[in-house]
Order: sequence, then C-alpha cells, then structure tokens
Amino acid sequence: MRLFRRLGVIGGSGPLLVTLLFYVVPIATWAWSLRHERPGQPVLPTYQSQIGDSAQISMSSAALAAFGGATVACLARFSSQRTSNVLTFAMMVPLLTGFVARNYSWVGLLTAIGSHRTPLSPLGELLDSRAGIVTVMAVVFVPFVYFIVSEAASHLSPPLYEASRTLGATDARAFFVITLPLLLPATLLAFALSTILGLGYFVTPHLIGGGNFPFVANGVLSRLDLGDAQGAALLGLYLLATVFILAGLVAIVRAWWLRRHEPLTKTPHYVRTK
Amino acid sequence: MKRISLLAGIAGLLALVILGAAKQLPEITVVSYGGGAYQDSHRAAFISPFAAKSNVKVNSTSWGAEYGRLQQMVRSGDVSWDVVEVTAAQYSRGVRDGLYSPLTRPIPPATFAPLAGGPVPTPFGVPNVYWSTVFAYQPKAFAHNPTSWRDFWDVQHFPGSRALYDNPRGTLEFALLADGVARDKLYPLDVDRAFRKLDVLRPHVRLWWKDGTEPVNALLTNRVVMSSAWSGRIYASAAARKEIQYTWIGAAHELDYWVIPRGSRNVELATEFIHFASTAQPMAKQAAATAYGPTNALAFSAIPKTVLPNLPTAPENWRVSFVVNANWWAANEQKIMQRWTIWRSKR
Repeated sequence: MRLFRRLGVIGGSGPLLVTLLFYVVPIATWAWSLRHERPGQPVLPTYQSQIGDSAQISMSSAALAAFGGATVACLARFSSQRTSNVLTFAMMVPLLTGFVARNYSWVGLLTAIGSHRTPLSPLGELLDSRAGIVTVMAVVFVPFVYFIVSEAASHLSPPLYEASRTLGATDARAFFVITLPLLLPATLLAFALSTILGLGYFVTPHLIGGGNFPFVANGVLSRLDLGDAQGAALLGLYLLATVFILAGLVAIVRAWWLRRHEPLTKTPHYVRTK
Repeated sequence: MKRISLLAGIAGLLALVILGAAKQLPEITVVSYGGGAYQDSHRAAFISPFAAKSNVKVNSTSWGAEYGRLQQMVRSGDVSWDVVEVTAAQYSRGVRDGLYSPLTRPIPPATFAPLAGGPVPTPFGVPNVYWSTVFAYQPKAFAHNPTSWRDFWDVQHFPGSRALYDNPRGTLEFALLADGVARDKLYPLDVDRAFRKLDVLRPHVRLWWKDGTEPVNALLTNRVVMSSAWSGRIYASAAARKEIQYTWIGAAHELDYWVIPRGSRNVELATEFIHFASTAQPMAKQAAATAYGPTNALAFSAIPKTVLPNLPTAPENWRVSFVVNANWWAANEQKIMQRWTIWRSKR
C-alpha cells in the first residue's frame, strides 16, 4: 500500500498517474506509430481552422453562458423561494427537450416563411454565422452553469454582507470582496465544463452555422466518410489534447484564485469538526 | 394455490415469448441515398409494398452516399445493411474494390426493359433511378429570372446569398459551366479551374447543405436566393413547387444503383427486394412522388402524364443538361473528396 502511495497510484496525484498510464501513454504511442503510416499526410495544418474555430466559439459561448448562468444563480439566491423555484424550473425545461430539436427550433425561430414571422425573425442574420453558433451554444450551456454555480451561491450568507456593510463597504465593494471570490471557482468550473462540451459539438455548427464553421467533430466525420479512420482518430486526438490544455489552464487559474482568497473560500480550522 | 398461479403465470409468459420469437419475421435493411421526401417515396413505392407482399420486415434508413463509410462497414465484416442505393461512380468503385455481393439471380428481361442506350442490370447491381441537381432560385428576389450557372455566379446582377451542395460531385461541374466551359467539354474536369471559380463565389455561399431538404427550406425562408437543389425535393413539396423556380439548363443528371454490400446476411431477401423495386409499377409510383426518372422503360406507361415533363429523362430536359460522368468520378472521387474536405475546412 505504501508503495502504491509512494508511486502516486492512490492519494493526491493518483488520478494523474492513472490517466498517464492508461490513457495518455497508449494514445501517444499509437499516434507516434502513425508517423510511418501517414507520410506526407499531415492532418493538423489542414484542420487548424477547425480546431481554432471549435476552441474559439466554444470558449466564447461558455463565457457568455458563465456570465448569464452565474447572474441567474445569484438572482435565485437572493430572491424569494417562489422566484427561486421559478428560475430553477425555467433552467430545467430546456434540458427536458432533445438537443437536435432545440437546434431546429432555433432555425425555425430565426427564419420567416412568407408572412409567418416570429419575434426573432429580424435576427435571421444570426443563422449561418459565427455569432449565431455562439448564441445558440451559450443558451444551451446556461442551465449547466446555473446548476453548478447555484451550489456555490448557496454559501453566499447574509451575515457576510451584513458584516461588510457594518465595516462601511458599498454594494459594489461587497460584490468584489464577497460575491465574486466565492462564485468564481464554481463559475470557472462551469466555464471549463461548457467549453469542453462545446469542443465536441457537431449538430449546432452544421444547422446554425450553415456548414461555414465546421468543428473538429465535423472534421472527424468528413475523414470517416472518406474512409480515413486514422485521420479521424488523429483529429480526435488533437481534440483530446485541446481539452487537456484547456482543463489544465482553468485548473491553474482556479487554484491560484482559491489560494489568493483562501481566508474567504477555505473553511477555518476552528470550525472543522472531528 | 398461490404457487400454482405463479407457475401458470410464468408458463404463460414463456409461451408468449416463444410464440413471439416463432412469429418473428425475416428482416432486411434498405438504405436510400438521401432522407426526407426521397426516403418517403422509397417507403411508399418499394418498402411497404414489398414488406406486405413478401411478409418481410423491411427497415428503411438513409445515408449521404459516403463511400468510405460503406467501405469501412464491409471491411470490418459487421455489415448491418442489406440493400444500399449508391451513385453510379460508387457502383463502379465498389465493383472494383469488391464491396458488393452478386445478386443470387439475374433480373428477368420480361420485367425490366432498359432505356434506349441506358444502363442495364449487372450481376452486382441494378440501375434504379435518374435524379438531378438543378439550379433553383427564389423568383421574388429578382426583377428578371436567372437562367444559367453563369447567373448563379453573377452576384452583381443577381445579389443575395447562395447555397451549394457540400460535395464536389456536380458542384465542380457547375463552377466550370459558370466559367464558360461547354457541357460536352466538361470531362475530364479541369479541377484547378473549378476550385478557382468556387473561390470567387465562396464569400457569398451562406449555406453548404448536406441534406436535400436544406436548400428547399433555405429558399422558402429567404435564407438564400439561389441554390443548387435536387429537383425531386422541390417537386415533392407543394409549397416549394409554388414558391421556388428551377431550370433544367445545366442540370446534372446522376444515376443510382441498388447493390448488396458484401457480408450482408440476407443476400437472398436483398435480391428479392431489388427484383421487386426494379419492376414497372413500383418505379412508376416512385416517379410520380418525386419526378425522378425510372430506368425501366416499362414504367413510363404507368406514370401520370402531368409528371412526365418534370422527369430528368424528359427529352426537353435531357437536351439542355448533362450526365455526371460516373467513370471519371469513379477514378478521381477519392482524391477530389480529399481536396474538397481540405478546401472546405480552410478559410
């Protein structure tokens, strides 16, 4: 057991070691072996725009969703129980509908057939555009952010705000010294989760983006349609690498933030119970 | 007493399961090239009548004629499709690559009469339908109607967004026609010239469609003002027939084949299905629904007279259009598709 602990299989760095041994090493070995089988067929340079688009659009929509979802979570925390229930229900409803159906609904909402117009028809230019994909993906992510941030928002206790006011803090200052430090770690987590979800999106880039902004998943399908399973797998590998890099970056920022605001975000030792 | 009731209940359930298993019908899966109205026409004309006649369960599904997908399926040995509709180029490639099983018996000449100079059934496949990609437009968008692919590329005189099929087959030909190449001089395709011409139009292409329903909807909702489109999808929709216009000038005709993928576990039933789908009545029924051209000359007498002028094979339509050269595409499809995929992924 001690040996396992020393090797990091269990304990703090255990998951990292397991990931390395059973995930990264086999995939990297396989990818390395491909260099002989795919001479002169570099996949990355030809798919840079797909990887770039996937990352950029996913991060933009996740950021929008993080802002929207965290705002609604705060609103729910400081509203009456009834309003909070209504908001939670409103966030749940989209999750009960099929994802593809929601995408088609957006196409329907943004277009007009003859004289049949919807309130969103004037925004029809959003279809087949980058902004359209960002908007639709952000709306899809808002409930995820809401449910993740709601947990953190439940720790925003009124006595903290009362104490800050007693010490002469304005509402704005209270937001920056209490609300933001407490909510940001969860919001960052929600942002990372949404971005990672978005990176693998396939339907929205095609239906809302009109095929103008193919994501990595669309590229994977294109390679498979050509019978190039290795190329598809290699693209999948790039996607995985992008996910690891993004998740790592967010983890670093989150850890830095938690350390910086340790007095507020860490439960004091004298409160702990045995 | 309770135990007897329980045992009787279990026995009853078992009997139901055994009877159900005994009554399970033989099953095949038929794959149409394209979903939506086209697949519906297959269901109505071929699949449901065949299922009723032969007491067979026929699953209907669709694909986008992605050759690599079929190739992977056959090579993996896990073949879940029994009858597949492929393009003429893919038929040739598949025969060359050994992807298809031969039919267990040939099509009887009494039930299938080829068109004059048209394709004939072979041991590996039966020509099924002539279909067309046409140049469609929203007439309300223009003072005078566009008439050719040259107009499609002319965004100054015919402003507005365009939509094109996300596939080089046909699209490269349209680019060359727009660039002044004569219909009878298209092949071998000058691929570089076609891509250069596509580069010019690319900023105005708002939608790269994959499914035949998309261009029809895009035109109906004014998302685009011009698009390449499958003629049958416009014909099959009453709203589209009313609102959208299309021209046969420069239309690309293609031929599809029914084939049986190698490794299918139901070759006999698949052959039976292909035999049925190649007879006159079902072909006529499908033609009436989609206005696509049957390959069996015996079918024409059963097609309503109002439909005949809308078929790709109608003499006046045939004269002003071209047939996609299946042999050229069979030889070049793989590398052109590679180039297309890369071209589409770059901006």
